[in-house]
Amino acid sequence: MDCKEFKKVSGGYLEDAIPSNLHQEVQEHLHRCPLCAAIMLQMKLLRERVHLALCKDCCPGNLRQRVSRKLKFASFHLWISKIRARQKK
Amino acid sequence: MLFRRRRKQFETLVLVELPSLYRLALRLTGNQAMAEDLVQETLLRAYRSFGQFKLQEYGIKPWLFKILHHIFFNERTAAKRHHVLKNEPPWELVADQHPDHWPEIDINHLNWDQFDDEIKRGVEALAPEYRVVLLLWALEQLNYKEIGEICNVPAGTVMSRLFRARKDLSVKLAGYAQSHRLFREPHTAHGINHHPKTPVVFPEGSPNGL
Repeated sequence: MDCKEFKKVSGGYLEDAIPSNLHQEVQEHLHRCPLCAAIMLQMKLLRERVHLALCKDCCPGNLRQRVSRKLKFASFHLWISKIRARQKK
Repeated sequence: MLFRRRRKQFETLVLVELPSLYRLALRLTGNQAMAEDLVQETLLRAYRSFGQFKLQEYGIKPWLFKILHHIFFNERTAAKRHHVLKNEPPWELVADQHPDHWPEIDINHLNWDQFDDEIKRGVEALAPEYRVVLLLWALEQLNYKEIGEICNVPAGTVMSRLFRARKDLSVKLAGYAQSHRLFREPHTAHGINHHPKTPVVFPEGSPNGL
């Protein structure tokens, strides 16, 4: 495998979504090519860093209660519409 | 009683996913009030269709993301959608443009809070179609198949959008590093400088486990 081929399958390799023989070829290439190994490391670390930067966003405390209230209301409406449908029959 | 039981069952399943839904909605809309509306609308739609939902190995989260994605892209932003993706190149062509020379960042002088803010700005600057794929991949740690199902696109499209998103974000972060003079001198591989610069790499041992 050369660098050009690696670039095409690098995403699949990262996801563990390529066949095992191709996986082996990628690993061999990464052992031989420090630049592609650095690119792979960068992809992994970028993913982790974006996760760490964005996972700090907190859900507003009262959103849960508001959602529950809306669901209760929606449930009531579904119940009413079902009763009306039965009455029509 | 049946409706109450159904609602309780639904709430038990979805309310644990509320933080994930909100995070995704917030980064898609870029606005807290709109994010809250989007989450509430998503959950109301999900509740109305709950009878059709079958709990499978991935749980309820991908299904909720799919509804959220649908509302955001097909309804809320329909009027002001960007048309940048009309002529989206195939993944094989995009892969050939793989960037291979970004400099290495000196993390010893990196302010991680500022850097994370730069990441947020970089993510928000992406086109929504790229942003959602990056968020599902990095923030929610989903794989290509799951992302493809949520966005209703083939895996190849996910790969090319993700590639473009990573590239744009990396360029932005490289710009930040450059303006803060955080680049290290390029080092050589095996003593021979094959490439003028090495990629932006956050070496092991950086804060938060990196």
